[in-house]
Amino acid sequence: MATLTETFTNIADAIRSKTETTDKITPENMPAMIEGITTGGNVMELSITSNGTYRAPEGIDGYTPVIVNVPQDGSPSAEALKIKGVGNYRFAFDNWNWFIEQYGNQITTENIIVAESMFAQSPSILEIPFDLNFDKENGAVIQSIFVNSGISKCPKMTGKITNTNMMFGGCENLEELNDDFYNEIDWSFFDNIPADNHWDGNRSQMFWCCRNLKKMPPIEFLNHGSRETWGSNTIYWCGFQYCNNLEEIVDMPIPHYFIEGTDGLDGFVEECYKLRKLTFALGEDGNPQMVKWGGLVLYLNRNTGWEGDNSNSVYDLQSAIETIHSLPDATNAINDGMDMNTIVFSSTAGANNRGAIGDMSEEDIALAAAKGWTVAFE
Amino acid sequence: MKAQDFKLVRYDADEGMVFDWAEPRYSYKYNENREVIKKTQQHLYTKTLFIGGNDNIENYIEVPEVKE
Repeated sequence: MATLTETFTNIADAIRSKTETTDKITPENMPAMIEGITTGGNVMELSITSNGTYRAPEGIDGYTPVIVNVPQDGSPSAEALKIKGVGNYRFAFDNWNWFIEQYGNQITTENIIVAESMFAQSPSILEIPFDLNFDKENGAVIQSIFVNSGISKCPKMTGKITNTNMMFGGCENLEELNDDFYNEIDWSFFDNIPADNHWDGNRSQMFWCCRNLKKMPPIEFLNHGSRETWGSNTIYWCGFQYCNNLEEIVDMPIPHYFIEGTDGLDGFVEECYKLRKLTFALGEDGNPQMVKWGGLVLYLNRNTGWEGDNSNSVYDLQSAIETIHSLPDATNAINDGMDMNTIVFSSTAGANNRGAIGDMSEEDIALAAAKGWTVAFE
Repeated sequence: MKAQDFKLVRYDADEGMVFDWAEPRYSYKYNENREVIKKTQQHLYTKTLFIGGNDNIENYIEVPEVKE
């Protein structure tokens, strides 16, 4: 039978285990400490700052507490594990990984209306084991939703989305985008944006800095958004910038009009060191598509297909010819008074057995010129 | 594709010079109210141009090459 000292020691140990303290506890304090222990579950209260970052603890001005009831035994209720409505920054900055790690595929989402930066700056999140269900009526902004996260695969998404700017920016674990995550997405917003609304529908920088992306994302996913837009809002603007391992872009979909700005194609394939093929989608008749493009510059000289030594460029003469043959036809735009477009090559690139770009025939150069593109060499 | 017949003329910039657009071109960044928040001049800076029937060498000027 335990002595009185041993009994008090055991009681104190039990109190310390529940209150997570290591302090010495006197018998006089034991009743009050026992009464202060919460029962039936822990309530974790995490605070969200006004700019959306997550911090603990509560009580700081400008913070909105997010309370999740987590029982000590068993799982939280399905309702507690449901994310509804606002989800921006919810798992950002590796602050809420514990939620995913602990409850994984028990988490559900419903009618999310804002998912901006939802998993942003979370390199430790390697997998998202739950679907993302966006609002079907009005859609959700998913700008920067996965930026600089560690995902190698996109979770399944449903509902309507309205803005995919920087969607996969900096996802360096993404080698190939799974082709089933978007099958239930409603893309109609991008096809019907009012002419005076150019902020929504931003699709630029979608794969910016996906340094290990090797394969072009599914065309069906990119094949919406053929509408009037600002130059820097399109899927082209820095779309694949710094995708250092991307090898081919084939049948790239074409938005049909850049309203203003000369930078609509800026950064499109900049520093795609391994790019050996770039072609644009042809029309149903097999000919280059007619576009209202003017004053745009397609840079294929900025370390496109090479790094450091352009004599070994994998984007070479044959690549350039393929690009030129599929270039969209801007003739009507030029005839309507828009400026000529320009395509810029590095003349010494690709000096291997498929030929240097600078050796391009006058016939191929003339083909570009005939479609409203002046050919320039560095 | 429409068949066109026109001459292509090659222009090479002088030593130490590159081509730029004669009429300055700019890129713009906008806020959500479509107000310009940044205006940046763009430059062509290439050594060789092939000018076809839809373009004109007068649309370009030679400027000193900028070494990086």
